[in-house]
Amino acid sequence: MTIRASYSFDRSRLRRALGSLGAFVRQGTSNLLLFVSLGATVLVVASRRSTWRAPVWAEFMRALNAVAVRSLSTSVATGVLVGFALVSQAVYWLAATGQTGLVGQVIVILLIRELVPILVGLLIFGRNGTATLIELGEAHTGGWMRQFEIQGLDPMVLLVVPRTLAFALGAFCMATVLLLSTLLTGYLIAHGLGLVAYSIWDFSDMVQRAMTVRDFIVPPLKCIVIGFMVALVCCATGLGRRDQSDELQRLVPRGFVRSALAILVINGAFDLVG
Amino acid sequence: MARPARPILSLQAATFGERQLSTTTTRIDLELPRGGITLVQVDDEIDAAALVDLCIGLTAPTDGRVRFLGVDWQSRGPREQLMRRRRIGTVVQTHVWPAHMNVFDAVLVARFYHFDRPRAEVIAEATALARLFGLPGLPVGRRETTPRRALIRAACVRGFLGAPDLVVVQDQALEATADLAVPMAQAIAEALDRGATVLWIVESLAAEAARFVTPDQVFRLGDQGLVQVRRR
Repeated sequence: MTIRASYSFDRSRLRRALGSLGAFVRQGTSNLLLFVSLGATVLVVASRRSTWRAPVWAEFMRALNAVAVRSLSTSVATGVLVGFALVSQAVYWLAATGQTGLVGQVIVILLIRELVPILVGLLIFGRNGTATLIELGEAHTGGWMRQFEIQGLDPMVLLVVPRTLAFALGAFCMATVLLLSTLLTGYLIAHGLGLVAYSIWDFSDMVQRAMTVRDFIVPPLKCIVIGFMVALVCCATGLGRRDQSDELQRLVPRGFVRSALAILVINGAFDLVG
Repeated sequence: MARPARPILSLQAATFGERQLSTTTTRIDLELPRGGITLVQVDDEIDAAALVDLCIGLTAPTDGRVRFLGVDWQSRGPREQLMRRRRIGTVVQTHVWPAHMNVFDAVLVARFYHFDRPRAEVIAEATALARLFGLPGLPVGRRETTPRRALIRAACVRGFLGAPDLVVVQDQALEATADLAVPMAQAIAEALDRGATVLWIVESLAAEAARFVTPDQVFRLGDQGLVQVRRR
């Protein structure tokens, strides 16, 4: 009797565990599919000429200004800090092992292919993604989404499309600024400390020689896709908040986890394909 | 024999399910002819907002039909519904403004989104309306820095801007604003002269802001639907 009861208890526990696992997988798959369909819808809507009306352009320019221009000081400061840490360390250790000829390759692999896209994604989320989360997080609860619908304004066209495209283009601009400031700072520090004796042009030449054609295509594309996905995650998470019970303070951590996950997945996917 | 003019908005046996102050489902029959003003008294603000949503196709009736310019909202897809709403002006939720735009842009955004009119022309029309409602011009600040009084008036400008076919007015904050009575009456008279139709949903038929408006039809929303009443 006791054995049977314990057996049945174990079975029901197992069933519950499997049930929760199944529900988790189904929910995750459903969210992923919804997200993919949202991304595809944005691309389709953005490709329509009728989408680009004056307010949509204005919103795109406003978002692009926030990502590419107003984040300039943050990008440069991050570039300086990363340059100080990364390039000077790479140069120092390669000089210590007598492998200074590998400076270009190390920088290309570490900085251009891997670090810059991830850093750009995190910077865009921190500076612009959180603002989007909070703005759009109160769209339903604050009532202005209803106002938009009453006025016949399509939220997808007016809110999501300009932001995603501005984030994508802004990510490319930000990556360029970040990369240049990192390389320049790294070189200046290494030169100042007497770790390298060659000129900045030789340093630039070394980096460019280490780059292949792929490095002029894949890392910029990676940054663009990361910018697009961060915006998409923030818009979807923000607009997904429909009532006051879902606290606004919980949106930012939720958006951060999803954005970080998206950044790492895209980074990994590009590395695998590349 | 001339055919009777098609109503701008018609609700035929349209029922809306859950009401705040009633346990029964309410069936509504209402026709708004072109160039007329209709006053509807609804006691509860949530019910009033639900009636607005029903009229402009934001929510579907559980039964019956709601037609705007002869077309049933439900026979159109979401995209076309949005496009058709460009012909409706609304003065609702006067306290609600988007977080990412200033009041100036929020008032004009729908005009520039739906129509290709020159910017200067739209701004001139909006400024004239703003002056009618007692503002020196359209407020350019964010919602947080704009006084409540100016936001209510800016919402009125947004509702009447661009010669809409139908103007829907519903906001309790507006009703208590006595100094809006004359400008509202003027704006409504101008809209009616243009051939527009006005539907004003009020909490009380004695609302200060609606004092100088002479409605063609007056209703009260009761348990059995709309009941024609006389305004004292």
